[in-house]
Amino acid sequence: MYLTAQRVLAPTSQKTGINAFLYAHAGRKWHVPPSDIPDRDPGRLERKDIAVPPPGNRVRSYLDIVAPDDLSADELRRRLLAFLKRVQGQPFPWEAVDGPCLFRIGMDAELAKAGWSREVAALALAGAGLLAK
Amino acid sequence: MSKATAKYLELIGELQLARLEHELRRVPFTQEEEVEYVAELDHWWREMTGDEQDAVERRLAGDPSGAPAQLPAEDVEVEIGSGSAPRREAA
Repeated sequence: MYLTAQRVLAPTSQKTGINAFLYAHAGRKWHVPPSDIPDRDPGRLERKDIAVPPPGNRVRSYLDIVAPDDLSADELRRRLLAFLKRVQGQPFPWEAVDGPCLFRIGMDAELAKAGWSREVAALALAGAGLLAK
Repeated sequence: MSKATAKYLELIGELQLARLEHELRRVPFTQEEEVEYVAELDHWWREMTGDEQDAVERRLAGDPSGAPAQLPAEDVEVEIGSGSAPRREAA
């Protein structure tokens, strides 16, 4: 799966919110994340949760997760925290592989300054909400 | 970097992760849990020199390096069943 949550800002209304997308990769299994996911092959979009309708909104932050479709939510959370423990303090954007998962996080300076962990929590909860639907 | 500074920054990082983990599990981060961190943070804070404390405050007040003023990305419309990504490089 490719799960991505991104905080966007509408340029005219200035409305902000988090949009989340869940892509599936039917029939594909892996022990290490395939190099073509998500940039060359995001997969087939299965679900989305839209707070601010696209297109043309500025992306202010994102959390990308590539993981096997059958990975449990607990395991995914554990691996996300392990990733964050490893990358915190490093320059953005953050990107690393943890087992079968790939994580990527980016955010603008204003969000980072307000507290990266708060933003990551908001993005992760938006992703978890979509995953649970 | 002194041992006190390193320990203080390490604990701040652990505290942020602990808060985040609780938030993701939707479990409250209790005052008792917070107090454990605060007591140890206080200890290492007192071990630092004034200059080291100033440097830590500046570091914590600043944004993590590498975060740009704006990300060079905008979102795109994606329909269910589509195979395209939900964002692209901004024009």
